[in-house]
Amino acid sequence: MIDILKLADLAKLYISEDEKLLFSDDLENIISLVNSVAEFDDNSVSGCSENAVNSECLRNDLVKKSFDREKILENAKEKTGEYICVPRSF
Amino acid sequence: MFREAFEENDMDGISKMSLKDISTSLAEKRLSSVELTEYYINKAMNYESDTGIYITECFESAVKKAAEVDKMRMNGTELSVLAGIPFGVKDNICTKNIKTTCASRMLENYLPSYNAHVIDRLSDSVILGKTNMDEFGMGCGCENSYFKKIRNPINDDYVCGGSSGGSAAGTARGFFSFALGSDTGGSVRLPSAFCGVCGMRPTYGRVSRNGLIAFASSMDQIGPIAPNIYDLALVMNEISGWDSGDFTSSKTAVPDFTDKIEHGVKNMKIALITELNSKVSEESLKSVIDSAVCFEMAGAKVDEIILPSLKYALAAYYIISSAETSSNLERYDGVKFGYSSEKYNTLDEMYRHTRAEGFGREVKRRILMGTFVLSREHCDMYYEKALSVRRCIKREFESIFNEYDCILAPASIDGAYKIGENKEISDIYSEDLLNVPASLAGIPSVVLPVGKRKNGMPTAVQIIGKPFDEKTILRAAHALEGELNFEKCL
Repeated sequence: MIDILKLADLAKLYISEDEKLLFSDDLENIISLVNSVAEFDDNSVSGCSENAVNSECLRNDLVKKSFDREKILENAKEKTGEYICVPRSF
Repeated sequence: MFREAFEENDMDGISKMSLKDISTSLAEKRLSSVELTEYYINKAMNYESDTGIYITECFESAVKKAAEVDKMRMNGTELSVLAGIPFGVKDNICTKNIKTTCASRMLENYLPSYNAHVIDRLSDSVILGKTNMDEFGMGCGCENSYFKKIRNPINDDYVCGGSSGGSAAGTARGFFSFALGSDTGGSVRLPSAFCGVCGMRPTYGRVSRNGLIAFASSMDQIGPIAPNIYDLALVMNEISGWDSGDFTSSKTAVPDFTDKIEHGVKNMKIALITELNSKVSEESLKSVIDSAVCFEMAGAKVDEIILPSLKYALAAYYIISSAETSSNLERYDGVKFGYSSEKYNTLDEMYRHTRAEGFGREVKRRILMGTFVLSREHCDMYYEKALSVRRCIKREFESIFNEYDCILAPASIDGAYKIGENKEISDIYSEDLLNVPASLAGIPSVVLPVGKRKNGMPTAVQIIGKPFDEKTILRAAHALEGELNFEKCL
């Protein structure tokens, strides 16, 4: 049985009572679809690394002109001067 | 003043022109970009009802841009092959000062302060609008947009496919000359197959993802949609190449994808994958067999082979993509940009309510699923296993490509399904079955229509290739397109 409230808490999502049932059913359904990976014998591929980063594509750190602060702040809900405002956290 | 090639009222002349023809007409000044742009705008505006293709129309700025390009052309400025040509842009590709919503309430009013790299590469082409999609790219039918639904251009009762549904349906309706989409688990290929147009998922790293709003970063890839294969190759020429803004983009040399595209498939070795063919309807299977016969008649050798790990591909895809979703979408918290809830007292409540109100059901479902597979109790059982499956599939593809030039496969289980069809979540996810193997392996795949089903909807096949060998699959697809001379559904 999936603890949907715990998952929602970890994902910082508020979910209603109705959604609790809905998402529990949905997730059960999806998990039954993906459960087949448990049967996969991964001994044959152990030790292989995931897509390694191609070092050719790494660039040197260079100081470049940044985005315009005012432009970036245009998308924030609330701001004061050069800063974004958020509710008190303590 | 430029339109020597067209009669006064014969605007349909444009709809019959390929991208190559349009490019030539513009270059030879027999057609102006303004005339072309106005033609497409009128076509969209003459529909009685909203087709749902655009989330944001940029018609006014498009005409201005077209006029600028015309002026540059008259002044003799060197321009690109696609200069002055109007196109559609999926609404998850950032466009400076044009809303980029990802079809989500979360980004309903988001105005990017920069262009995606591909938009800069197409800087002398004309953006007609931002096209509708499944929210954040999550869906197979384009039924998950926050704003509006799109119907299939061939039959209103059917979905247009997702998630790049607006780009595919718009191309099929002739609303623009070509479009950009993005493909994570088939989001360019499936709508192209459902709408009867051509679509390509390039090799991971071939086209920069800089400015593409992330869904599952290890598989997201921008790709073109166009009416025919040659046109796809033309767009690929313009959008491919290394970008310092995307460290996963590749420095592999970019060839001219149109070069030798007409050379056919003589002596090409093509594989059919048994496990994929066994999953599809009779009609979808027939389209693959007919295509294989065409290839053989054109001089290719076709063999049936097996890909043993394929049975785990769909599960691995949904585990990895959900995991990456839950991580990528953490940034939407109502602080720096995007939707922000009014219902809160504390910062934590603001996060939770913002995300609950800003995301749609499918996005929440994938975030929860991703949180589940990444949790301490389940990470080894699901996420680590899925990564192993991915490595194995990649290895099996490598082994196939040691012997074969490309793979021919069906593009959809049974074509487009009906809007609102009551399907289980797992049935909807299974629509991706044929497309996720190439996504997991990061290899290119091109989809093209090859005929019509009994219900009038298109059938399509895909051709999958070696990493960075888009040229070969475009050549094979071009040959198939010519051999079949398929009946156009529209």
